[in-house]
Amino acid sequence: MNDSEVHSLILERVDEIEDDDIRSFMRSVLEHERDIINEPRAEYADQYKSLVDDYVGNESLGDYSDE
Amino acid sequence: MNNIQIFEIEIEDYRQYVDNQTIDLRNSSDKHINIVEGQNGSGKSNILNAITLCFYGEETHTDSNDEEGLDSDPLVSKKRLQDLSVGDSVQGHIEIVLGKEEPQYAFRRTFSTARQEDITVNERREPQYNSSIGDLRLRQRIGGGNDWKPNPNPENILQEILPTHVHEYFLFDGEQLDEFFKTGYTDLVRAAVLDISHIELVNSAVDHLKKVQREFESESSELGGDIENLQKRKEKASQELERLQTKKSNLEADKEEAENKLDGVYTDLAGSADDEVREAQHRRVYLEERLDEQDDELLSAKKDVGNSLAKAGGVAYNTNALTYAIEQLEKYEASENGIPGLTEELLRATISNNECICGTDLSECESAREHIEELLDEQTSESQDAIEGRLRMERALEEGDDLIEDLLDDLKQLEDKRTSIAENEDELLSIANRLEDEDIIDNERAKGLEERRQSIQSRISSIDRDIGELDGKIEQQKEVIEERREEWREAMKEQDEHNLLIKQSEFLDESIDWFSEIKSEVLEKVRGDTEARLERYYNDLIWKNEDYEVILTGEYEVRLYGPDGRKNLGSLSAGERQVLALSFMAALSKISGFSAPVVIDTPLGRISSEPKQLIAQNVPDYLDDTQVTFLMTDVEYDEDVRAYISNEVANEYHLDYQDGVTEVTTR
Repeated sequence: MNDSEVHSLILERVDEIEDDDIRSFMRSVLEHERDIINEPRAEYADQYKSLVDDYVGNESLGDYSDE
Repeated sequence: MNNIQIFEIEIEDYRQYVDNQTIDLRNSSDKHINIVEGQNGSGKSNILNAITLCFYGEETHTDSNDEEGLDSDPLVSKKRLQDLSVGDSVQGHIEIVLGKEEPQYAFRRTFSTARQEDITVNERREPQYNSSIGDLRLRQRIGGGNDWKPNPNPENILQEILPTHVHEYFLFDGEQLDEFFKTGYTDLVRAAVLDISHIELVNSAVDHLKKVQREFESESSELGGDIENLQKRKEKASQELERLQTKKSNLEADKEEAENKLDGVYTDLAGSADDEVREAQHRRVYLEERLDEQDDELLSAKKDVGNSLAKAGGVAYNTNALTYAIEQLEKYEASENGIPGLTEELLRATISNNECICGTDLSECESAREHIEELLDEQTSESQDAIEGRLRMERALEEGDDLIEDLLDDLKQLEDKRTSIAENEDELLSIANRLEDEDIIDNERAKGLEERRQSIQSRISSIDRDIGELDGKIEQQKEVIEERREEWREAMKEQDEHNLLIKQSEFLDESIDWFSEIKSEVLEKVRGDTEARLERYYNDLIWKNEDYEVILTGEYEVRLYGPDGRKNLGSLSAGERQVLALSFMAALSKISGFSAPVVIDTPLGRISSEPKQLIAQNVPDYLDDTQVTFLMTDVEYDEDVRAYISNEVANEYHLDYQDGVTEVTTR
């Protein structure tokens, strides 16, 4: 299997994941990893934290001004 | 040819290759095998080394049995070093031209060897050399013509053609392959399957997600206080406030009760049959009411004093400075230049008469007139400012005197109030003493009532002090509660953030698990493909007329089953092991999907004569559309082998080695 065949296989498997958030997140990660391969100095940590925030956001944070 | 092939290798002054020698390896569509034949030590392995040195900066073949000892030799040909002086250096290079149908890339790496100070070994002086290699460079052909331009990213292009981590499955020494399946080989097989599986993307994703996950966990561990404890502390502070407030309420109730009792005593005293007692009580009630009023009046008087002080203070504190300034301004006005009237009058008269004191006719001289007019403007402005300032200061001093007088009046009134209050208080004390003293007012009941009044009054005063203290404590306790509420609020927020980070970490965990599962599936597929090809190639290549089953286990152990059952790899002959390893390498290079040429040094080194033809013919067939270059000894490349593969051979070379120098000649 060459490079593109393996990547197709990986993407096919990712697309089979039922959880929409996980599937979408993993696709975004793979896309970014592709960019990193082309640009090894590309940043990933902030990008992935931001993606995780999109899927597991901070809307649950409470306001404790009132008891 | 659809796959990348080596068009030519140019070697200049590398090892035993002196001057510039070019080996043309161009293949055609039906001929994809190259043969470079030479006896042991003639430089076959150094052709493989030249390729890996050029591409990857390393020499693959490190056989210490080689007569020249490759590791210890300088990179530049010894012939070139003979006349080299200490401190001087010589340079050589290797250039490899690659492409599919036409040359497209020319990779080049230079190297140099410098002579160092000789050393003496066993009373013999031996020259010392130090070799170094330069960076990989690349020229790329633009279009179909002869326009070649430097490419700034040779490493990137090379990684696309044949990445560093898989080159050993394309460029390898066949003679060393029988060592491949020795103890601990499963790690090599696992690494090889990983190398060709193209799962770097998933590996990198998992690696990066784990790092982000660690950062989340590290952040979450720093968050969250002891919520339960902080909640208790907050509640405890609130309870303490309630306790203080209850205590204050109780005291206020006690005070109210005491005041009621006091009212009763006052009523009794006011209703006394004794005129003197009644009169004294009435006077006391009046004085007490008056003292209440005087408290307010005293407060008002203090405010008046404060206001007066604020108004009068500025002038009073600066009287000396203002007086001095006025004196100075008066002196200025009295000086000759500073008498505004005279100077101003003189200048005005000059302009009016149209004649300057120097005799100039101002109607004739416009510039002189303008000059005098400017002087008049300046003089008028300065004089007016000085006079205005002096007058203001004089007014301020005059007003200051009035303000100070007001202040003194207010102070006197304040003092009068205090005196009056003190007098009233003294009188109240006197009334109390009179009522209490039977010698003054002979009334036993009044005495008793007065004693009771004093007792109640004392109790009320005591309660007032306690309430005052409690008020202070209550205020402090409210501050404590607010501090503890803030601590609790912060902790609750941190707990929320902590819980969010935990959720995010779990989300990453799930993603990592999925990636790992997908990685395992890809690896399992590659392992299965490798197993199938390994079995097929081994059965084709092995000279025995038996069927073998080859299993590549999930733990990457290779199991070989013959007609008599499982065969221990350790019991295989060197030739059988080489065939197995060759089959594995062929499978890896095939499955990897890289479009790269294959160069095998000594491919048949351990193989007895009978199966050589099989291998020589089959290995290239497995690698169809792939350029295969065999670096063979004259023993390997015998007439039978040559006859078997002659239809597919594009180029045949012989390495002629004499006096330490190899010459590449066409066979």
